[in-house]
Formats: sequence, C-alpha cells, structure tokens
Amino acid sequence: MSKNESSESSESSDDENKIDKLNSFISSLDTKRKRNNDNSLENRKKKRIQERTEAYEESEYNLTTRESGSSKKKVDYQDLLGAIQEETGFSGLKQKLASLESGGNKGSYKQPLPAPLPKRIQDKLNRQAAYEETKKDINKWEPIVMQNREAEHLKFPMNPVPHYQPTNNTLTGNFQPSTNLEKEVDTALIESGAKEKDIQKFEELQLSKLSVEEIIARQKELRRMRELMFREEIKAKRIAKIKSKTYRKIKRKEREKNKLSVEQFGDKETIKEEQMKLESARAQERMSLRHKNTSKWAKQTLKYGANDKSSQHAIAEQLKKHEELKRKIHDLNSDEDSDYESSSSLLSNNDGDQKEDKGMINTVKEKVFDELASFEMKTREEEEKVIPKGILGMKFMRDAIENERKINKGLIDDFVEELENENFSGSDNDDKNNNQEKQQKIKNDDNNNNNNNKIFNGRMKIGAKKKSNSDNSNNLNNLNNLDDSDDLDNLVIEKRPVIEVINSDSKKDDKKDDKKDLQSEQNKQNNDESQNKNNSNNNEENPWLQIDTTVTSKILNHKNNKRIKSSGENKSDKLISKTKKHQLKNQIKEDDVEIDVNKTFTIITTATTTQIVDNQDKVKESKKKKKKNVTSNNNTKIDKNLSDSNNENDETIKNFVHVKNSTAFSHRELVARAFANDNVVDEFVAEKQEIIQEDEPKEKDVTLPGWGSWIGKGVKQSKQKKKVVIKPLPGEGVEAKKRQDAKLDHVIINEKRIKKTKKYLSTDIPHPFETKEQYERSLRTPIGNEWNTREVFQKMITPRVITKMGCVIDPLNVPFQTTNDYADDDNED
Amino acid sequence: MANETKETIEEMIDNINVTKYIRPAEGNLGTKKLKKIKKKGLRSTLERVEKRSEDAAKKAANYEILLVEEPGFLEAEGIEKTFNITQKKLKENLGDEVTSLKIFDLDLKTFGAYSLDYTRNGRNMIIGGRKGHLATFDWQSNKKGCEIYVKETVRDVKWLHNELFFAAAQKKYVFIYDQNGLEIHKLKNHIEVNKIEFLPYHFLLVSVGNAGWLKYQDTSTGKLVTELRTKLGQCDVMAQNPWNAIIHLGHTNGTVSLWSPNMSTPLVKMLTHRGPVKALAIDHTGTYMASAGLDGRLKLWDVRTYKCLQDYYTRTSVSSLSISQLGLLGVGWGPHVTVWKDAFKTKQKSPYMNHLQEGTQIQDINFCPYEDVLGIGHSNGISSILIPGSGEPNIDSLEANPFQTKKQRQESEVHSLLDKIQPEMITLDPTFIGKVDRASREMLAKERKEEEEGLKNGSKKQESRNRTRGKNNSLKKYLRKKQKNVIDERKLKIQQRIEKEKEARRKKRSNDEIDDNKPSTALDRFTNKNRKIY
Repeated sequence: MSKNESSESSESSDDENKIDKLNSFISSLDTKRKRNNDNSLENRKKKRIQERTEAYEESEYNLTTRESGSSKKKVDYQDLLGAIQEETGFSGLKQKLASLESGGNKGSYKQPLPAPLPKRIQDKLNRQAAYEETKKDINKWEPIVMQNREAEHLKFPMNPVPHYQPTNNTLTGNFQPSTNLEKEVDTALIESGAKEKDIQKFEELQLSKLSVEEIIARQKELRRMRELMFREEIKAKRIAKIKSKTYRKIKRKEREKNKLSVEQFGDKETIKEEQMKLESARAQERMSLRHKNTSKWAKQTLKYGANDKSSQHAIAEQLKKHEELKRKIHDLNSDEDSDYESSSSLLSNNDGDQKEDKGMINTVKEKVFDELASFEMKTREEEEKVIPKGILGMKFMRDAIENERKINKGLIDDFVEELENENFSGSDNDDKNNNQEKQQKIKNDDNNNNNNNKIFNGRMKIGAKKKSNSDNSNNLNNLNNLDDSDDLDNLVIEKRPVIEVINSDSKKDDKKDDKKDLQSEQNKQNNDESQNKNNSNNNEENPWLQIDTTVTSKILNHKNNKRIKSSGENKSDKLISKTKKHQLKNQIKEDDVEIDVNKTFTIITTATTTQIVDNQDKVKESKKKKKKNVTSNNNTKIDKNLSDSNNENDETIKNFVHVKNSTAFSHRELVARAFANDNVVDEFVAEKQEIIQEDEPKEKDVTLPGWGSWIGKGVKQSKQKKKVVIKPLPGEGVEAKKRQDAKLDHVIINEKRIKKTKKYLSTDIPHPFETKEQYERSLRTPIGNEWNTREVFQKMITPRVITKMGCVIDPLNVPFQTTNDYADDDNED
Repeated sequence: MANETKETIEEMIDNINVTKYIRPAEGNLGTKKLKKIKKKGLRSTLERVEKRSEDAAKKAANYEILLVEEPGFLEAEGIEKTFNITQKKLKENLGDEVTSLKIFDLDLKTFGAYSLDYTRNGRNMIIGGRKGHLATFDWQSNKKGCEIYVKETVRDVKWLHNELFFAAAQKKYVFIYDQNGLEIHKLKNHIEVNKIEFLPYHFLLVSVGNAGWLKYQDTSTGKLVTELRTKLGQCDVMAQNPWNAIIHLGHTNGTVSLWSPNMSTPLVKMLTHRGPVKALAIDHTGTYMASAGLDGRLKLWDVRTYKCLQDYYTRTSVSSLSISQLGLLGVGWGPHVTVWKDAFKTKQKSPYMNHLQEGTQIQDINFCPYEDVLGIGHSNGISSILIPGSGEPNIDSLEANPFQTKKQRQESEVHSLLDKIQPEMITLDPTFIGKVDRASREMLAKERKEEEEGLKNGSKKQESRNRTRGKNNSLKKYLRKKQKNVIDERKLKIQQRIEKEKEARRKKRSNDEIDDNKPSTALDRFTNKNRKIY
C-alpha cells in the first residue's frame, strides 16, 4: 500500500516544489527499507547480519562477501542497479536492462544462455539435419529408380530421340532451288507455267466450267436414287419382320401362281405334267418312307455307320424329309395338304371315268418309262464317271457290282415287256392291281438303283445286306399282303431290298395263293428269328451270347445258300425244309447255351471265342459266295482267292488273343509256370528282402570288447554296462515302409545315392528363394531354342542391360513434377 | 449367346492345348500363394518366373498352327476290318507311286536272319545278316551305300549319330564302320556282344553280351565310360529309353533291369515275366514299355510308376517289339507281324494291322521314324510294309531332318557334338540338373568330410612317392615286371649281369678310395678318371 502511495507521489512530484522532492526522497528511502522487509521474512532474517565468528584473511583474492551458511549469497546485478530503479532519468538504461532480464521482449528472466554444445555433438546434429534435407532431395528419384530396378530389361539410351524420316511431301514442299541447274530448271518451269501450283489452278478452273444447271441436275438424280434405295430398304425390313404364317403362305402361293402362269404361256400339258410331277414325288416319298427313322436300315446305319460320313449324310437327309412331312401333317392349312386333297379328288374322279382312268394309267406308264430311261442314263453316266476307290475299287467288288447291275437291267427289261403286254390284258380291276404291283416293283427297282448309287457313294455293305434275310422274307410277306388289301399305307418296302425277293416275286406270281399259308408260317418263324437276333444284339457285350448269334447266323446263311441253289425247286418244299432247319438251329442254339453255362471248360470257351471272329469272317465270306452264286458262277476263282486270304486272317486272329479275364487263362498260367523257372518269383522276393534290410538305417555298435570290465574266472558280464552305439544320421538309409517300391511287389528300386550326379545338384537353395519348390519352379522352363518358340527364346536370352554401341548414355534426368509431390507425401507420412 | 459359347469353347480348346505345354513342377504357386509371400523382391521374381513359363506354354500352343500335317490311320467301312487289309490290297489301292514303292521285299536267303536299323531321320537303313552280310542304303531313293561281307556272325547293327558311321556286333568284337564300309574301329573291350544301342545325345555306344557285362563307350572321345556287371548272365534283350537314356535289359530270369552308367547296380529291377524276357520296346516319350517273355505274355508297362497296364497272351513267343512315334505297337512273332493301335490306353480286342511273312521267322522289327513304314528283318531277308499312321507327320528339322543336305548334316554333327550331354547326367529323372540335393544336411556334411579326407590322403600319397631317378636301368625294370616266383634262364642271366655290374661299381668305388689315399700331385688334373678300365 505504502509503495503505491509512494509511486503516486513520485509521479506527481515533477510539478511540485523542491521541498516536496526532498520529502519524497526521504519517504522513498523509508519505503525501500519497508519493502525489503515486506518481501519475505526469511530475507529479513537473512538480512540480520550474524556475527562473524571467524576472521578472514584479508587479501585481494578474498573479496567475496561470504556469509556463513549460505553460499548463494552473491552480488546481484540488482544489488548494483537497484538504486537506479527508483531514480528517474535512467529510462533508457532501465528498458535495456528489462530486456536483458527477460531474455526477450517479454516474460521474466529465468536462466542465462546455455553454454555452447560440444563440437562433436553439434556436428552430429548438423549432420542429422543435413541428412533429412538430402533425404527429401533424394526421394524424388525413388520411383524412377524402382521402376528401373523392377524392369526386366533396360535399354540405353533410355528415351532415344525418334529418328526423323522426311516424307516426299515435306521434301517437295520445302524445296528451294540451290544449285545453278536447279535454279535454271525452276525458272524454266515458271516460264512455261508447268509448276505444280499452276497445274492445280488450271484443273480447278476446268471443273468450274460445267454449267450450274448440269450440276444441279446431276445432284438431283443422285438424291432421287438414294431416296428410292432407302425406301426400298425400309420396306424390305418391314416385310422381313412379319411373322404371320398365313401371310407367308399367301405369298408363297402367289409366287407359285406366278410361276404356273408363266408356264401357262406354253401349253396346258406342261401344267399337267408339272402337277403329275408333284404328285409322283409325293407318292414316292410316302412309299419309300425315307422320312421314317424306324426302318431296319435306319437302325443299322445309326448303330454301325456312326463314323461313316456318307451314311450320316443319308440319315440326315432322311430326318429332314421326316421333319418336312411332319410339318405338313401338323399344318392343316398347308398348301401341300390341299394339293393332296385336290389330287385325291382328281383320282376319284378318274376312278369314276374309265377312259380317264386309262389315260391316267398311260401317264403313269409314261412316267415309269421316263424314270427307267433316266435311271439308265444315270447308271451309264456313273459307269463312265466313277472309278471307285478303296475296297470298292478292287476287282471282285467291281465284278459284283457289275453283276448286280446286269440283273437289274434284266429285271427292268422284263418289266418293260410286261408293261407293254399289259396294254392287251383283260379286266380293269386286274389291271389296276397289276398296275399297283408294278408300281411297287418300280419302287423296288428304284430302291435297287438307290442301292447302286449308294455303292458308288462308298456305303456298300455286302454282309449287312445279306444278313437281313428275315427282312427279305418279311418283305415278301408284305407283298403278298398287298395282294389281299390294296392299302397303300400298309405297304412296307425295305430300304435295301434284295434281288431274290424280286426274283421269286416275278417268277412265281401265279403260285402266290398256294404259298400264302406257308408264308405266313414262315413269317412267324422269321419274326422269332429276328427277335432272337435282337436279343443277341442287345447282349452283344456278353461274349458267350455273341457266339450264339454268330453260329445262328452262320446256319442261317448256310440255309440261305441252299435256298438259292434250289431256286428252281418248289417253294413249298423249300419252306418245309426251312422250318426243319430252323428247328435244328434252335437245337444248336440250346447246345451253345449249355456250353456257356459251363464256364469251367475255359479252354473250350476260349477256343470258341477265337472262333467267333472266324465265324464272323466266314459268315461274311459265305454271304459273298451266296451273292456270287446268285449273280453268276464265273467268279469262283476270285472266291477261292478270297477264301485263302481270309483263312490267313483267321489264322492270325486265332493265334493272337488278348487276355480277357485273369482267371479265364489260369490253365495257361499253369502251363507257363510249368515251363518257366519255378523259383523266379521267390528269388526275386528274397533279393528284394535282402536289399530292404541292407538299406535300412542301422545302429553301429562300437563298444570295445573287454574295455572297462573285469575279467577272470567267475566274473559275470553286467547287463547294465553301457554300449557305445553310433546312431544312423538322419537321412541315412531308408526304412522299409518309406521305400519307393514299398507298394510294388514286382519292383526293386535302388535307393542309393548316385554320387556322380552330385556335382549337378545345388546343396542349398539359392538366394532369393525360400523353399525348394519356389526354386525348382524357376528352373522348370528350359531356355534353349529347342524347347521354345523363337519369340520366347529371344525374350529369355535378352540381357538385362542393353547398350547401343557408340551411344552416349546420359545420366538420369531429374523427374521434377511428380517426384517432388512424392517426396512431400513421404515427409507428411 | 451363340458367339459367347463359341468363344468359350475356343478358350477351352486353347486351354487344353496350353496345358499340354505347361511344364510339370512340384507344388503349385497360385496367385493366392504368391500374394502371401512377404518379401517383395522374391515375390516379383516368382511372379516373373511364373509369367514367363506361362507365356512360353501359350506361345508353344499357338505354334501348333505350324503343324500342318495330320496323321491318318486306316479306317474301315462298315464291317470291313482294318486288320484284314493286306499289304497287297493296300498297294493296289494306293493312289501315289511314291508310297507304294515303300512296300518292298529284299530276298536275301543266303545270309540268314537280318537285323536292321534306321537313322534318326528315317532316311537310311542298315541291315545285318546273321551270316555276315552288312549293307546300308538310302531306302527311300533306293541308293545303296555300302555292302560288305564280314565272314563272321553279325548279331546286331546300329547306326551311330548319323549315316556316316555304323556299328556291328560281330562274332567276338564290336566294329565301327564308315559309310564306305571301311572298318574304322575294333572295340576290343566289347566281347561277344549280342545287342548294341546308341545314345545319340550322349554319344554313347552301349553293348551287352554273353558275359552279361554292360559297357558304355563314348564314340566322340573313344573312352570306355563304364563297364557294369549285371550279374544276371547272358543277355540279348536291350532297349533304350529315349527320354532319359536309361538302358533297359531283359534277363533270362524274367526281370527287366534299368541301368545308368553312374551306378554299379541297376536303378530299378522289375519282375516282368515268369520265363525269360524275349523282347522289349519303349516309346519315345519314355512313359510306356512293352515287354514280351517266353511265358507267352505280352505286357505293357508304365515306366514312371512301374505298373502293368495291359496283359496280353501270345500263343507263340514274341521275337521282336517296336513302338512307333505315334504309339503303335508292332509285335513280331513267328512269321507274323501284328500292329496294335492305342494298345497302351485301352485293352484292344483286335489288332490294327496284320502281316504275314510266309515261311520265315521274324528277327527284328523297327518302325521307321517320320514315315508310315515298318521294317522287318526276317530269316529270308528284309521287308518293308506300310502301317498308316505310324510315323510322326510333322518333322522338326532341328531334331531330325529327313531332307537333310550334306551341309546341314555337317552342321548338325558339329552342333550335336557341342551339345553333347555328359554320361553323368543319365538318371531316371533327366530334369534333376540344378535342383536342390534332397539328402539331409548331416549326410551332406559327412560326405564332404569324407571327400576332404580322401583328397588329403591322395595328396600325401603323391608327395611320398619316391622317385629315384637314374637308378632304374632296363635290366632291373625287367626283373621287377616279371613274376617273382618264375625263374627262367633269361632271368638268371640278367641277375648275373646285375651282380656283375654291382661288383664293378663296388670295385670302382674302392679304387677311387685307393686313389684318394695317394697324395695328390699337380699332374692329377690331367688324368681322366672315367677312362679307367675296370
């Protein structure tokens, strides 16, 4: 409080008198003392000067004012300058002092400046700072260095200046005549006006000479054309989008009408012909049943001809036809259907009118003749054209084909004759029947023709054809049925009808009635047969059943042969004999089955298996023979040859049989064993055992006998005595279970280390890799050009650094922008 | 949609092709596994390696476009069977003259059963008649190379690295002839050899004979590399595995043993038959082996797993086997040759082709490389028959070039010599080179120690060798080389002479001593001590 007062008084003292000054001075002296007292009691206490108990030796070195007990007491600068505080007129000095005291502008003074650090530490700090700085600086190089380090190849110079290749235009454009000659030429050109620019100008002028009207007209024309095209296009698009079937049908009919109308310009006959053509095509389709996939032929081809291209093609065609027909049936409104209706109505009309009928027959005849003629043409053409390759090219095959063709020809001739005779035949009904029959025959002929055609397509199957004997008889039956009922739809004509059918049919027309009963019987039998066959086919996997089939087929064939030979005999007798044989065959079949059941006779059974193939071959052969018999007896020679060759094959097959079942050949094994060294296996096993034991890791006993033990009479060997044993090293020897051949009884694999190959192996995994797998994977792709494509090879052998000869390689440029940012980012992190 | 499916199918096909070219390796390194690897450098190198191998496989698959030719097999129509088609029929129906010329017979009845061999490019053929007839020819152009009559038994013939040299196992030794039939070498180490083989990449001529010794001779350096005792008696069945150059021997006790020149014992021993093994063949990929024995079995093996794949029965014992480049198996038995297709994959019910060489015994059959031809050596000469689809249709001219010119042959000879593989590299797995040794650390340490010790001992021995130069006269040498216990006249004489010499030397020394005892004079320097007669 008093201090405040004093300060106030001191402030106001400037204006007052000198007396006041003096007063204040005195009072200030008092306050100072007072203030010192106020500061602290301790200070007050300290200020109490204690008595000096010890005397100092006074000297110039003992100037310090020391007080006993407090070493702190030093002369302060406040002590020296404290007086000035109160004084006025020292403001400048005071300020300086204050600044000194605080160590800055403000605050209070705490401690004096520290002593400079030792140089060593100072330098270290400097270095650290410098490091930080340089790091920041260097960081900008990091990405590019990384990039180069990770690159597979480095090519120096890094960014070569692209080589400048002047083009023709630039050369001509920038051309300045420099030499005298050039200048001369230039001036000459300018004078004559033959410079490039001049010529261009001239051409432009010429173009502009066309009249405006002309140009406009041309443009108009072009525009019109474009417009029209565009419209047409749009229209076509719209029409193409229409999905309506009726619309399409209408369109189609229209088109056909147009076509007919075009033809109408010719004459009416042509139209009729056209209709007839359509009609007959349809009938043919229905007769041939080419569209159905249920026929035997189709089944066979599907079964066996899967790999044959031509048969695949045939099947595809058939399926297509079938699809078409189906569509017709479903689509009631289809035009074809209506056509059919109309034609049928036409037919009925014809039925009513006999004259018309005759005319119809005539047309049909004409058609038949036409077809025959066309067929002949075809065959002749084919004869000329095709020289068949492969098996078909062989002589006997060609002969066979030739013979078949001859027979066909003969048949056709017969048929033509008959047809011609028919003009003079009796009742209409008979006529009709006959006619239908004839048609049938024609169909047959056609099929035969087809067959021939097929032969040329390379799809002939001699064996298969003759196999279907039952089919033939079926066919025959069907023909007979046809006589009873004129139903066309019931008629089934085989895809591959066989000549004999036609033979019998044509020759023995008159005897039909007598045979009917018998044939029906035979039909039954045949059905049975076919059933059996089917069964056997189903069980083809079973070799034993296969035997049956082959045997039966063989018998069948035999039978067939006989039948053909006795073609002149009465058919009824033939059929009776057939039935007998059938019974016989059944018996044989049963016998065979018995053999099957008894599987213990492995020798016999295997023999039969070998015979299977033989039989099959023989069957084939017999078929061939049969064919030859039918056709001509001239080819016996070839037959002989063939049979010889076949026998060869038979033999080869007989002698080389694969082992089907290990138990099946047990007797063979026994025989083999009898001849072989009996103890071969035992020896091998013993050897293996020996090797296994040898290779097993073993402990080695290296105790010195007698060492460390008492010797003498009555001394017992202590059991606790330690044995010195060397244990096998890890990886030394192979345990029996871990051997490579542990699970292979018939194999001994050497487990010893091959020391000579050691030099090609690495003892450790090389540097960057951590596991064997990683390292060995890196080795797996060979580098040589024998194992790689050129491109890969070149890539693999390119060195990491490629330098161009004679090129100066500049140091890396500082990549300023990006790298600075990068460095900053790093620092922030 | 359609396009998509098409693409996927194409991709699949591509993948199939690529997988064919990817090299096998232990373990797998998928992207997941790669990502788990923490070391950046390692990861990047592994990635690079993987990418590179993948790339190589893809590129190789792409190069299949260049394989223009496709193998064609006989295909039967309908019930026709391929094995019924005889060579005669085939010849009749062949379109071109050139191929039909490949069916031929050489009637050589006088010189007995023939063995034959084709060069690696299939261009040249050598035939060796048992009774001493050797002939070489360029069989495709019908040019005869040389023809010699050696007047002794010829058991086997083999071409060496090209058509300039061939080896013949004769009555006692193996001989090497050049293209003119000039005898170049008589290999005295190979005695009574029954079968010879040539390893083209190693330049090794391998022989095995009556004594059951398997011998490897380097034909480029002439060094006998190894002689291995089979300990299984006489051996006349040998085949090489072209993939790893392992020699397979068929023995009389029904075993087949696999040999490498680096092991004194067989690497693998398989009990294949109960009777003696009669014929062996190995396909060029080194995966399949066919063996036939006197027990009437023809067995097909997977050589990688040593498992029997198929087991066929043969009525008469098989005399020769051969596997073509495309995997057709030819079997010669009696007068027949049967060829089986896809025999290794599935059990065949009927052969692919048959051939009967009437009135003969088949001795040796060999498929001709790069041609659809099978050469048959039999007791009446040589026949060549067509087996469609047997030879590789696409040639690799770096490997074997059927249309090689002289210059190319010379080039390839030099190259193959430069690329010659050392015999030490013959192991069951030829890809072992550079891999990590699987032996344990301890074992490796032990081996190293032994090696070092061996080295030390060896060097000591060399140091301690006492070489007393000049004390080795011819007489002493003679005595030393002679057997100690044999005492003949000459030996006694020599001993006497040596004694004499000794005596003389002793005398001389004593004389010298006597001389030394005399006081030396000034004139001594003029005396010639050597001229003294003792």
